[in-house]
Amino acid sequence: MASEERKAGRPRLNATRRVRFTTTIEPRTLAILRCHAEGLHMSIGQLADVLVREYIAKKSGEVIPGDIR
Amino acid sequence: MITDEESWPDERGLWRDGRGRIRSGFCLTGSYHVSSDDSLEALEEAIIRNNDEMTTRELMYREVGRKKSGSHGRKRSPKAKPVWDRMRAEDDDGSAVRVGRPLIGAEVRVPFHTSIAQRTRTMLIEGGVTLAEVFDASARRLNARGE
Repeated sequence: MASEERKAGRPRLNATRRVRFTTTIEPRTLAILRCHAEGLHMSIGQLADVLVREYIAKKSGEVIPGDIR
Repeated sequence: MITDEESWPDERGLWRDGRGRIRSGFCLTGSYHVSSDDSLEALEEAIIRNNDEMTTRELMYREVGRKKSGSHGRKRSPKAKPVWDRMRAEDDDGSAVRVGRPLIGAEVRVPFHTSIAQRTRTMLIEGGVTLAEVFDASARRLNARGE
C-alpha cells in the first residue's frame, strides 16, 4: 500500500497507478471529510483509501491495526 | 349613501363617484316601492316616491354585469406554495437513491472527483460497496464523534 501513496511530481515508472474516481457526495459530508483529512495531513483521496480499507474490514469483521478511529 | 349629482351612473350604467372611481358596493337594505312599469319616467317617480337612491342603485346592481364592469385589478397567478408531501422527514438523511426531483430540505449531492489507489477501487468492486456509501458512513461516524 505504501507504493500507492500519492506523491508530488511526475509519476515514477513501475509505480502503482492511482485512478481517477468520480462519485457523488453531499457538500456537508465533503466538508467533514476534508476537515478530517486536513487534520491527518492527508488528501481526500488518501483518506478515501484508508476509509475504504476500514469499511471493508469492518464489514467483513476484520481488525485493522492502523485504524484511524 | 351617494347624494351628490356626480354619482349618477354613466352611459354604460356604471356608478362612479366624484373622482371617477367605479362604485361596486351596494347596500340593499330597506323596503322600496317597485313599479311594474319599466319606463324611465316610472323609474324617476319611484326614486322620488322612495326618497332614496338605493332603489335605482339596486336596479343598476342587477342590470350591470359585475364581471364585465369596472377594473378588476392586475391579474396575478396565485403565489406558489410549498409541496408539503415532498418535504424531507426529520429522520431521513436524504441520501438514499431516489427517482425524480429531490425532496425539499434534502441536501443535493454534488459530483466529486478524486484519485484513489487501484487497489482501493478493486476493494470497492469486490466488496460491492460504493465510495459514496463509505464517505457517508464515515462522515456520520465522525459527526457523531463531534469532529
